Amino acid sequence: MKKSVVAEWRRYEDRYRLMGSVCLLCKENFFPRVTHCVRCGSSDVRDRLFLREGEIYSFSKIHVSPEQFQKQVPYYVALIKLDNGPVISSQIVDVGSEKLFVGMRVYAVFRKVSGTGEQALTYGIKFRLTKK
Amino acid sequence: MTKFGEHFEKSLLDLSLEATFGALTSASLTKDTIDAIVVSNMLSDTLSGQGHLGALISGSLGLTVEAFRVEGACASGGIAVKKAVDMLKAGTHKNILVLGVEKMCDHSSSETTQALTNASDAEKEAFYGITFPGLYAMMARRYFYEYQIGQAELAAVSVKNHYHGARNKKAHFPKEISEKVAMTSSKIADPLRLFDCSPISDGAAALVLSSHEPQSQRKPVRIVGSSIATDSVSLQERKSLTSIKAAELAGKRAYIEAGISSNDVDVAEVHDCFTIAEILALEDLGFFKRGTAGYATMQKKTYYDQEMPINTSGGLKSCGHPVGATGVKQVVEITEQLQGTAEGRQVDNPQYGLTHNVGGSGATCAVHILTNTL
Repeated sequence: MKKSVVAEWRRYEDRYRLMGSVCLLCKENFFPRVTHCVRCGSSDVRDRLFLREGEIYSFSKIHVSPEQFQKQVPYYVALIKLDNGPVISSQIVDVGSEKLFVGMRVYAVFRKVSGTGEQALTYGIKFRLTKK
Repeated sequence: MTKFGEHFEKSLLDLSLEATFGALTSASLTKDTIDAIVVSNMLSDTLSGQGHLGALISGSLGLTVEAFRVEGACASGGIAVKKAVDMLKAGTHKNILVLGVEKMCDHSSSETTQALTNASDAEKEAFYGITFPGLYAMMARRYFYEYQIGQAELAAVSVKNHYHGARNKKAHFPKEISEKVAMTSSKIADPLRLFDCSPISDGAAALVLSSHEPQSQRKPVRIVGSSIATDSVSLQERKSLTSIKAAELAGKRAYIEAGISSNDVDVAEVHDCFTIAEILALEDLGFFKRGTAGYATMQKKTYYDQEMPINTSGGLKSCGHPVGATGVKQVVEITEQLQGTAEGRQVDNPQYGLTHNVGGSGATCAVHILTNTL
């Protein structure tokens, strides 16, 4: 199905920045934002901008992709534990010949995610390996 | 059930009716005794342009009974069985047809893969190009990290399931494979290779669940435990990647309902959509301790004539995975095992069998326990 421009626009806040939520009652962090705490049910949640640094919790190199990602194959996807936030899902880019491992340091960058000339382009946050 | 595989000459409805009449015949029932129909299917809207499956099946059988469809990704079949059990317990119906069906091979694999991605979290996962194999690959990678196993343990699952599938005429790929073939097959989502992944299949499976003693000559089999549990759809919100909480919970609840423990289970069909998923299942259900299921598989403990027979049908890997049909097929296989009719792969005199059907990367799990005792 074609991407709905309205649906894309609605997500700008948490796609373009690491804007999530923190529950003021139980202190749990969430990304993307939530309207109530998934853990304790409280609606006392505030926006929270997480730091851009974190480490790889797990990862995979994708060789067979859905159509709109075919130009990027092979590419790395990962779960990243943010230093002061939750585990989030994204891609690792600009890897080159380096061998990834669990615990490797990464930082967030802003990149195009998918889309070609005929479709709505989507942008979001991906991660790069931190130089030693 | 129909044979699982590529059925280019048969439609979604053809497969549904073939499985339905097969189930009616083996239960020695006529279609007019059916008083409700629960249909399990995930992708008919997307891939066949067909919704409204409850009435489609009922009408095609010339019936006017209550009929509806349930969807819970790859766990749709287990959910359908559970819903029928609930209706029998409530006493509103007596003979319920449970039909699982999926038609996936009419499309290119990238279209079908795209459709299957609906079972993951659209915003948190699919948006970034994380595929289904990618999600299980991340579970596998984390499992490798925590328990120091590798691709050989995963390959052992695939080799064993193909060994069983080669003994099942209904299997999509009834062929034995070597460890070398599994470990050198093409990369899909590292560390998962082609032979770590279940295939795209067409097929249907059907059951008739009754609240009274069956008329059939076959040994009666009862469902004595039936449970569904859920968890977050996205992996990022899970407390652990090396166990599936919904499976652990559904298993525990089903054991309590059946009044048995994991030690009493003689044969099980578990959801091996990817090889790592079977390893997690064996630990989540309590058959093996955490971190040891891969080694147990390497030691051949899960073959049909060994101590803990797993996936005698060939599992999703070799028998095939027509998504909506899988959870129903698992119950068909365990029923045949308990009736002693699983020719070529019959477990020695089993009394309790279990099915474990997972949706998505573990957000839904349905567990059923069946027995031929009582």
